[in-house]
Amino acid sequence: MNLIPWRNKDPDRAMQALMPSFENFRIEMDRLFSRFFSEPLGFAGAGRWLELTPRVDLADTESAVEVKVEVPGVEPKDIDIEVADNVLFIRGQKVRDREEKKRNYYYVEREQGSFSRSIPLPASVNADQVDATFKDGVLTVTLPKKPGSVGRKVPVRNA
Amino acid sequence: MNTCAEMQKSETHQPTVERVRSGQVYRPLVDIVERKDELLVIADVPGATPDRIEVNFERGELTLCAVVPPREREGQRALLTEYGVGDFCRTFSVSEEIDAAKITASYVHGVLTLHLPKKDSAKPRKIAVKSA
Repeated sequence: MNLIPWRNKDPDRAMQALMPSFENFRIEMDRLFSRFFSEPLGFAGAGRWLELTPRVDLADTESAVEVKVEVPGVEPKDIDIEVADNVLFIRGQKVRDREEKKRNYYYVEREQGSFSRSIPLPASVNADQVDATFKDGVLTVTLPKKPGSVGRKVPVRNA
Repeated sequence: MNTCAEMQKSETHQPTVERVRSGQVYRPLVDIVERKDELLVIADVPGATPDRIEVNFERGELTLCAVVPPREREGQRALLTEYGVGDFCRTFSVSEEIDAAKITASYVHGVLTLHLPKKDSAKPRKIAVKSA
């Protein structure tokens, strides 16, 4: 009986067969890293002793930057919005009224407390024309871009 | 790891209702509080449209479902998407002591509050001691 180690006769083809798994691995790693840096609490997940961190949606349109934040149960008057140096600051507080302290809680899943987020903006915005609306527990901040900061298409000339 | 999951919207794996829309279903975070004469269920359902929140009570089960309109992505480039957009659904078993006919719900700033009044027989009562 012969025991011959199996070898693919065509090394190129063997490599090619492996390529998709490398590619998948790379995509997985990219995803892991981008999630690590984009999650508000980083890798730790941190725990509830940290102040609550509302989750943010940031979208770029041609003329404006739109930021959405999920802050259910927060009064609009308790939200503070500031724009400085192309960074958007959102601070706020979710208060539980005092009377509730006397009650018996069976479940406490909802987060309470103060929160703050600073969100770097992808373009320079016109701080005077920032608009914020609050509807059904979702805060939407629309920040119009400065005219100069909207990307310009550069044609390539034939020399 | 557990705290991490709690911080995020957790997905429901077994939707209790027949789904007619595709998309993600989330389990809303709730507080349940007992008051002297009622139970309060307070659920965070950010983004839900008030007229499309359904609260059903059937065979001792209280189901709340809220429809959240999907993201509009027309002409937009998403740079950050930290939260998922989808409907909210969650079911609770409710004891016999609740007066199902008198359940009421209110919705303000993305928070749904259900009032579950106790039946008279379940309310705490003080019995006066008569001196003979």
